[in-house]
Amino acid sequence: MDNLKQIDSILKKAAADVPANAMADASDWNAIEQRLKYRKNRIIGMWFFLALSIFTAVSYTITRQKDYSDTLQNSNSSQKVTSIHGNDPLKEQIETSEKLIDINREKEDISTGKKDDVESKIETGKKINKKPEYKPVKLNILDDQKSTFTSLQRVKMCQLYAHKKIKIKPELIFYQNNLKVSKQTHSKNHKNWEYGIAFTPAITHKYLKENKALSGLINRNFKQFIESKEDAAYTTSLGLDLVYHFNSKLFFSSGVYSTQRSEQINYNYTITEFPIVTNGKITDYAPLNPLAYENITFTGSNLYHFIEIPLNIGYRQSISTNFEIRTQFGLSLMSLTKREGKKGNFLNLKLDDLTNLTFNNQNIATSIKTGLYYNKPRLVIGLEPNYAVNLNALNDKKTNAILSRPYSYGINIITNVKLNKK
Amino acid sequence: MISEEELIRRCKEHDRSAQKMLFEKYANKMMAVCIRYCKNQEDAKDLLQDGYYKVFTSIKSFKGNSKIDTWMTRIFINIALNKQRLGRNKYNHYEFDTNFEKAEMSEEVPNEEIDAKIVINALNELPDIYKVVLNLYAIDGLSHKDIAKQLGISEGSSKSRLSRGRSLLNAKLKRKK
Repeated sequence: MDNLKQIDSILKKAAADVPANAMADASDWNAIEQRLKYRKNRIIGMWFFLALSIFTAVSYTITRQKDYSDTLQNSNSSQKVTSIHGNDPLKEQIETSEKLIDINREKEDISTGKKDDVESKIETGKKINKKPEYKPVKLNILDDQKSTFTSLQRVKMCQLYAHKKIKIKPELIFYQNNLKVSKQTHSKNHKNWEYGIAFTPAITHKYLKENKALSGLINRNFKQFIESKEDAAYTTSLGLDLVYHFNSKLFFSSGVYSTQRSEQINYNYTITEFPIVTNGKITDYAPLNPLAYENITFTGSNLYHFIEIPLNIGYRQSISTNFEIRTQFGLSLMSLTKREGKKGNFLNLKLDDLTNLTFNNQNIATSIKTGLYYNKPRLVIGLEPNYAVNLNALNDKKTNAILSRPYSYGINIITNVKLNKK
Repeated sequence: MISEEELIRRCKEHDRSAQKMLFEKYANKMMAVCIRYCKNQEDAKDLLQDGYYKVFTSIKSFKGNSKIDTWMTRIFINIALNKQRLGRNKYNHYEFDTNFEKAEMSEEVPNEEIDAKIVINALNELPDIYKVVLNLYAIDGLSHKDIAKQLGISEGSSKSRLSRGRSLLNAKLKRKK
């Protein structure tokens, strides 16, 4: 058995000598780096989304509370108005109705079968039930008094009459009031703010153009090795959306977004020659010593992060009670905050880190979007396909022979809260 | 040349170049660990990437009480064992081989000059339950108590698996020789 323990030392020795074909290589590091980048983006995205959610929830709660306190204030003010003019008409009517009901009951007991004509503003139902405690009662209240009633008062009245076991029909009393109020609100409150979260999954790519001033420096293999190996990539954009409605049709839209533009890279080539530059132009290519050949293998996504502030003008058209179509168009200010990844150099084809290249930090883009919105009194949910393109080249013209203008197309998903209930 | 303390400090600040340096410094050593715990090279590469990702995301918890490579090795082993635990149903079951059984009876051990690749291949051909205990005890230096705790088995089981593992490995090496 002790002999077998020698196996341990054989194992230890073998473990120390790693087989040559089992070495870690650059592709392992690239894979780890990609995962670390993704994690970082995910963490930023999560915090951003969390902050926006909290902001929206708090704002929504505050707005709701404001509405509720307005209602209470209206209720109090209406009571004050009536007290200035004298007695509270509602209270008077309730008291009078109680007296009348008692009188009517007495009369019914005597079986006169005759209904008294009461000069007060309350009259009993025409039909006298066999169960007198459930008599329907209609309240005659003047229109100007009706308009001051709030939902809270209605509930109180219903409770009061329920206690007296008398049926009332609130809808008969208040329907006129409701119509009045809704008409007034509708005619005045077209101006309105909306705010909320917008999320846009999109495909981004770019338009490439040669910079005429430096076009002589573009390597003859650039298109084959580099340009053709760069493809569209998936990105997302997330932000705070802000909309102001001027009237029932026109609106202005803005906000702050964290936007990405990306390109999928799949380089796999060998540099076997170097360009000879004379007077700012490639005049010839010299072959490299085979020992100096350089294999370039890089797969991944180049990411450009922007803070975007859109300034759009839009038009909306209602298509049913709850749905409308909105179309908007405008400009976006896009500030380049960060770039990650690597890019093949247009001159020598070697890999450059994006952080070492020069870019325009302030950019302008234009966008158009149109889509369907689900419109509720407090909430708006929209789905709109959009297209955005940079108006200026992202690269610095002084140092880049290839100029790229990123563009994206995707679906904008919007969930907005209305500041005023409509 | 940057010191190890400085390298770790920069890794804790998520410095990408420092992370790359740490990767390059210990990649082959960790790859050796990965190969021992995986069936093939592809799995070993996956484990290497998972392990380094875990190292970089939890390096803040490294207090400096041990050497960084020891701490990293422990992380790699934990991930490997967790992976095996999650994929328990996919384990290749040990196939009974009569020649194998006869060979194991002999306690004659091959000499230490045997090629490392052959030894590692033989180790990888063992059933996982023996392979893991051999790895943990003979190479990574864990005690039976620690192995039992790590694998959720008794110390007795750990000892018997080690003994059985040694015999099987010895038989394999003899056949390959």
